Amino acid sequence: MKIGRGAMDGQPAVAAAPGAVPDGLPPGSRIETAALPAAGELLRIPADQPGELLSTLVDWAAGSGPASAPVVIELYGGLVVWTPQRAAVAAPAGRVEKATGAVCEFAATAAELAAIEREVAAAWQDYETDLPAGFTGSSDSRRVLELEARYRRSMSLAGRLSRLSPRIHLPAEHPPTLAGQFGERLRDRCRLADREEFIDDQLEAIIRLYETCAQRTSDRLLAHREYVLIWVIVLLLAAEMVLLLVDLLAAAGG
Amino acid sequence: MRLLSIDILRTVAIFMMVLVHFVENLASGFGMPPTDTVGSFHRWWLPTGLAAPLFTFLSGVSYRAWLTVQRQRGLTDEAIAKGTIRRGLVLFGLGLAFNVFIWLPEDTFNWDILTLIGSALILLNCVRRMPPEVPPVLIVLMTLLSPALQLLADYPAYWTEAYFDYDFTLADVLLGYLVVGYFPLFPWLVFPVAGFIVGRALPPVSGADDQPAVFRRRLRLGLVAGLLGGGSLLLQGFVQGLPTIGGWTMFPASTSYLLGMLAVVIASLLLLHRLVDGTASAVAATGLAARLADSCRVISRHSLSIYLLHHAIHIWPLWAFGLASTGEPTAHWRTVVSVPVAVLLAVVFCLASVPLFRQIDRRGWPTVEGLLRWLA
Repeated sequence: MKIGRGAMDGQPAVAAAPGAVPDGLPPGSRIETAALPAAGELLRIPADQPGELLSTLVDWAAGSGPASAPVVIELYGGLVVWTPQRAAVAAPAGRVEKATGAVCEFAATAAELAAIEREVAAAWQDYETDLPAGFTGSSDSRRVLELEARYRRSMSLAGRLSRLSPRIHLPAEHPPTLAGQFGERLRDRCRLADREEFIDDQLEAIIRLYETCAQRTSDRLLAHREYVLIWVIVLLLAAEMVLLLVDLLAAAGG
Repeated sequence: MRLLSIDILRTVAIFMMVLVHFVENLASGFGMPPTDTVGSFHRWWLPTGLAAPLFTFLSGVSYRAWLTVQRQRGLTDEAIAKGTIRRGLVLFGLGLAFNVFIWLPEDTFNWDILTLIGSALILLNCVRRMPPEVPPVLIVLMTLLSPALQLLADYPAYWTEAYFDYDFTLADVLLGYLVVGYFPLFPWLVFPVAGFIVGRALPPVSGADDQPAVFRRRLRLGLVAGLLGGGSLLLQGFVQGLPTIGGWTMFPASTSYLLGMLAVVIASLLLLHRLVDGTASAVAATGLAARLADSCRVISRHSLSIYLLHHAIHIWPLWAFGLASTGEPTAHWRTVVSVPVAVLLAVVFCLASVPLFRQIDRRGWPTVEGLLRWLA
């Protein structure tokens, strides 16, 4: 078993053209475009000795763009090289299908988590701006709509993270399989569980702010309605007093 | 920041007021047999009934602008309240003094427009603290209540000779202030409160408010003006049996008159604001237009002084002449000159007031406005 990370030989990566199978791969190898999230490419290779293909696959995966170095997992006669844009799965012909499925599922999970992370990072700017509203609420209708939209966004992110959580904390299969191991190792190497926990903590802080904003704004709205009602009652009472006074004065004058 | 539209409208209001007062006080009964009663609205070309609503409405608009400036200066709410109440009380006192010195002591409590504006300022100090939804309710209530109050107070009993004739009793004085005087609180407070509401649609001094919101407010106000005008016409058409509701009368201010004048003043302000308050047009104004605009600013700035002066200048000689010729100061009231002469005198006064007050500004002579600023 060999687990490594980064380009193996230090050679500069040679980018293969999108959709083209790199040279030197066994027959039956094929690329599935858009098999990964964000139109990523998946290279599927039925091979009995995947270890020999390591450098080729690392070069192919690394040539996809400016992403970080590929994650490489070599395990029980199977090899996975993964970047967010490209993934290569090499395994004996009978196991390649399930291994590919496990990698695709992991890629989808990782992509969704990365998307949530990006959106949470963007939400922090609004968080700082909205802090005062957490204390006073807002009576400005445009501002209320903004706060409402941010509350909905935060809750939506929390919902997405909750739905993602079972896929991150998936228990190990028993008896272990190559596909299950690939999924588990990939999740472990990409620290999905830790990242999910951090994001969950961050979202909790953000949601707490917007829940407070909603409460304060609702309080203000109710208080405002009561205030209007009180004023209208005061005016009606004043009108009644004026009517009475004029009636009395007219009687006194007449 | 002064808005030219407000200055123009105030100038128009003042000049209309001067014309109406000159004609009515000097000539409305000229040549009539002594047995005839001098009524109102007998000259179709005389803009009776237009000036007072415009003047009082603009007092509300100006108060809103003044309030914005005070807030931007960082004045506390308490300081603003004190300033407002002081101004209100000074105007109220000035109104009473004006009645004593111009209309003679027996008319101290005829409740002219200055006492109304003074009272309105004190009320607006309360209105400004209300949620924005409440002042329109106040207007509706006052509009609905006024005909009933006029009926209860027996309005016509106080207006037998086409002027407010009251006894020096507490009941009559209070009734005059509330319902039956020249400009009683009911329903005349409607105009300053409406001006205060409409003032929100005019551009703020800082320009901090967003333009689409201001545009929406103006559109809404335009629709409201249309509805008010339509309501006035409907009342005139279908409620003719009740003159305090369906008649077009200023004394008493009937409901249809109230709605119609509200429509006119709101529409005038919005239209003029659209036409002359734009930055481009204000900057581009040169030559005659610039001189006219400057004259309007002078008149508007000294509207209170002009209001007082034009009374003094035509009423005091009238009283002196009456006293000298018959021993009764009011002997020649309404009958001293013919209508064309009165109109000519009004025009001369209006034309002379512009250079006069320009000169006063240049020399820094004291004015009533300066006194008001010093006191309040």
